[in-house]
Amino acid sequence: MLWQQLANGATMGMIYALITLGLTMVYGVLRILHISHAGIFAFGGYIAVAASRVSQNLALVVAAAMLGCGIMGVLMQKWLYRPLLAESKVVSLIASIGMFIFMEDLFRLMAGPYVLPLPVLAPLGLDRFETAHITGNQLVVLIASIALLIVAWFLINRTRLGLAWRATEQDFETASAFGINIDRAVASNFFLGSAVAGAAGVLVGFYYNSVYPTMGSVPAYKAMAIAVMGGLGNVWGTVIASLILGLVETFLVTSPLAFILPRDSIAFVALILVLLFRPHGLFGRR
Amino acid sequence: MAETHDILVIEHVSKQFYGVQALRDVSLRVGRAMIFGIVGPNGAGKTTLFNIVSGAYPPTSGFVIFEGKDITQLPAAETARLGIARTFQIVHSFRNMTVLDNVIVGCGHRVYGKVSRLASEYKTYEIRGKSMALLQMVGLAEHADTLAGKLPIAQQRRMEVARALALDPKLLLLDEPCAGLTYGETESLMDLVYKVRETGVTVVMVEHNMGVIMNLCDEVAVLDFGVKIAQGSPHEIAIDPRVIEAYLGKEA
Repeated sequence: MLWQQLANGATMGMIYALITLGLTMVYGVLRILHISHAGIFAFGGYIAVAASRVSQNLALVVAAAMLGCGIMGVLMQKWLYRPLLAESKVVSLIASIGMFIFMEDLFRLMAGPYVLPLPVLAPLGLDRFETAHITGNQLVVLIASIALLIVAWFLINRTRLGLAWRATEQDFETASAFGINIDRAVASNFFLGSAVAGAAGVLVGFYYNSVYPTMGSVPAYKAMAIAVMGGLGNVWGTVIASLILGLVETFLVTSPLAFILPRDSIAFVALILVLLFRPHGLFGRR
Repeated sequence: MAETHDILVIEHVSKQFYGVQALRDVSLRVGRAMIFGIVGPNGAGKTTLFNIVSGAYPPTSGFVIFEGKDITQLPAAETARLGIARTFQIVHSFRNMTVLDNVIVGCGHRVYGKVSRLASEYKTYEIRGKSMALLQMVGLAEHADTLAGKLPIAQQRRMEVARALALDPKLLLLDEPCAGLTYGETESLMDLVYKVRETGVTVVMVEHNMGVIMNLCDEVAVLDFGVKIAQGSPHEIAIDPRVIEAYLGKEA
């Protein structure tokens, strides 16, 4: 029972981490609260549904969703955020919320208000693997999300591209004085963040075998809460805060406390506590 | 002077900001491997001139020619790749990165334009070695792993010089490198600028400290209210009546 709960909680936590990663990357570079990131997450689920008619291979479907969502993210940055960059941050926040609502309704109009199944199979028959402690689906989600997080971490912290992102994040003017093309740095940053969100959309769709227009709405605000808890812009903080939340949620729903604290409220109780006592995040500096 | 043309030519450059004339018809020529000073009272347009040369923004009119190539409209990222490096009047270090990483950002200029090499490891043996050598030169080797924001201003300025040199620049723009430094710190920064010039880099510096200008510069241009009022050797400048007037006011 304990092990099952741990597996459930860790799976949710890793998915939260994938969603929040893009949010925190975008915040790091542009200082924008990118609510429509959750729309991109749902878009990933829909790309997967479409792609699953061609191939049932989860790896291929994830790749398709990552590509599609990455491009979507770049377009959003170019046409939605860039024109608003000179305005107050509230303007881009409102635009972002508007975009998110628009996307939800677009999914509803195009694919219907139904919960669609996502009939895909994991490579190597991993999803048929089963023990008393962990299901095959959980194993697939865990492996995929850990792999994605490691790749993202490597890109951010160990490569030229990541160095350019980090430099851009701290100072546009100086970064460009050292040969970094700011537009491209921001666009590639959006691409990676959105691609990872798209992968999260597919993994959630696969895990629950369901994709629906509003699947992004709970992650939209939960990711925001996690991003603040982990310290905006901090990859490891994000992962740890996500895992903590996933585990606390899972253990709480089976405890007597579930009666007074519904699952989706925990993120906000935690958010309020963090803002009260550690406003720079659990692991943030300064 | 042999056949080599001037490394930097500024021709009739003017810059207007929302009706404020920051620069008016400024022309300059900077020869190779010299230390060229730009002086002038506050608001004379010195930093504006630097920003135009480095490509932070284009001039309203006029041309900037670097090594015979028109760079007037090029953005900062491109002028950096051509070999123009700069430091800032107010220290612009990447505060949350280590001193070493700050310098490595400067080393990357040949790579940032090439997608195929972006995913490569940035702290290679070669780049690390080059960056450490630069830090050694500016005397910061032992602080390589410190976060840049934790260093005192004098050391952050030295780090900025190392970071600019990491570009392998042909032209180094120093914007008030000695501002806020003590006498001893200024001395050692001047030594550093000398060392840089020895390696064949042309240095253009904006400086308020006349002592630094007199000791260091081969040639000086004086700006006042956006107009170049004089140019010559430091000693000619120091006795030029227009310069004295700009700094001290008209005699009654």
